Amino acid sequence: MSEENKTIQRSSSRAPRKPKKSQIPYGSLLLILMVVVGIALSFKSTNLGLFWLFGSLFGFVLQKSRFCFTASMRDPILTGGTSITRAVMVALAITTIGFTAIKYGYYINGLDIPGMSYVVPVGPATIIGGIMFGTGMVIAGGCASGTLMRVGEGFQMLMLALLFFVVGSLIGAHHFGWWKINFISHSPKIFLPDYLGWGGALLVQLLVIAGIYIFADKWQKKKVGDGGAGH
Amino acid sequence: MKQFFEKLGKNEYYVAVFKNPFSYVTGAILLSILQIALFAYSGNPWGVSGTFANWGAWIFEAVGGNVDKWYYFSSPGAQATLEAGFLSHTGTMSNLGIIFGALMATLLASQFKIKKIKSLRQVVAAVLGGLLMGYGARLAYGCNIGAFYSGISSLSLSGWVFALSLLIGAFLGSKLLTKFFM
Amino acid sequence: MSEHLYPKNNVTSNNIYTTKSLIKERKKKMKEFVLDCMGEACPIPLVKAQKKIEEIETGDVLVVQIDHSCAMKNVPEWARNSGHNVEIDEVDDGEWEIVIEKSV
Repeated sequence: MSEENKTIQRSSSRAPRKPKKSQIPYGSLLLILMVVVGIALSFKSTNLGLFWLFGSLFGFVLQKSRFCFTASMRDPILTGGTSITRAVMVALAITTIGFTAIKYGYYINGLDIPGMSYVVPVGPATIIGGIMFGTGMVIAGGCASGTLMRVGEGFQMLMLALLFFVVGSLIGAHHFGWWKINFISHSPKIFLPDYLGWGGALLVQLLVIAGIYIFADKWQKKKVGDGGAGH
Repeated sequence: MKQFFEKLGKNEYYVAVFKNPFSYVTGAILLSILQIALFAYSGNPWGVSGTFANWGAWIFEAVGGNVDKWYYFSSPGAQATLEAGFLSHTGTMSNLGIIFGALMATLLASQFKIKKIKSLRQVVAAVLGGLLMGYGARLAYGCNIGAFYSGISSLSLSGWVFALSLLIGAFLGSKLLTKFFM
Repeated sequence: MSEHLYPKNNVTSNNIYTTKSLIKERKKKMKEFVLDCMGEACPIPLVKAQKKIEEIETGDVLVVQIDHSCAMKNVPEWARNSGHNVEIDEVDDGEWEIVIEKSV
């Protein structure tokens, strides 16, 4: 939004702005420092340097697009907006296709499929954990990635949330053994291609994602409107 | 020097990439590309919250605690990670990268501002929210990234079940938010 | 020749005066409301703005003061989808004023 003609009349004149001090020099300095850190880490191990790079890129993209998984779930309920929900569906669809292509490539060559450690047991612990996480992320105003992003943006409240996220994680780890014995060890790991075939799993998942996308679009139009076009 | 930065800040390409926000869909596409690249390179999708448990363990050990008898840290891999320390931990570098990447994004857009805590209810919200997220993520083997985003993208049913549970939680959280934390 | 300038019925002069006084009344009534949402976490600025816009009248202006990067996106988006005029002013590093003119 640049200096276009402002059409909305205000009774007070627009607040005389004190000349803003540009932060770009600091940003540039930080960029240089981050590159230096990346190179230093790479001397230790290329792996470390690359994870630092990936993290930085994730953080940059998250902040630029104000991407927030919390909002994707909370906004339909609280404000009726689903634009982030739909964007998350886009991300899920593209990432699913990319991951599946890679995994399938390993599979048909008879190699171990990578990333299978993320196919985890599904059961009561998943549900309870999800409900707890969902509640917490809305109350705190950010999810895991969102909290880290907002710490970088200077939110003290989220810095506090991060601290207690760590504390909560430690307590969770402490209790994990109990959950494992009583729930998780009885819960199956379900890799969809094992049940629907590779093509079937991909198709079904993409159809579900598409369905949610369409539903979300209608939801927002119903709750908020579409700028007067459909009235 | 100052003039250079002033001119840079007004350059139309700079403004398009570094000043203006990206659309949500642009973010979704870029995040997907990064996820796929990370998976292709490291063999594992993106994860965020597992690292927090390790951070907790390192801090705990730094103040005299010991987690070696905990089931959660009992595997050889977990023990090795703890032994090696946070400076050798890829997850730590990734998470710290997110913080600094976001900071850099705001500075380059000249939009950085420290937002101080305003009220006691914000403190309670942060503490309660953080604890719930931390504990919940351990039960579900991950957070909105590891269990939800990466989980679903990995064609694991757990991702979808977690997603539904998140929705229920978000509903509860919204009720609590409007009642107590508005 | 100048017949087309005047409506066929005979209430011409009344129309002009009524319209003028209506405009004057509307200008007098147009109020500006300021919502200070500095330091608030998501999605509080948006929820407060949604509540406030219900209370004000068409033509009034609501100014939402925020320092949250999410809000500088989601508040204007909601306002536009709801059919209002919106402008965003960046008033300082990391601070914005979202000016919404209630249009429906």
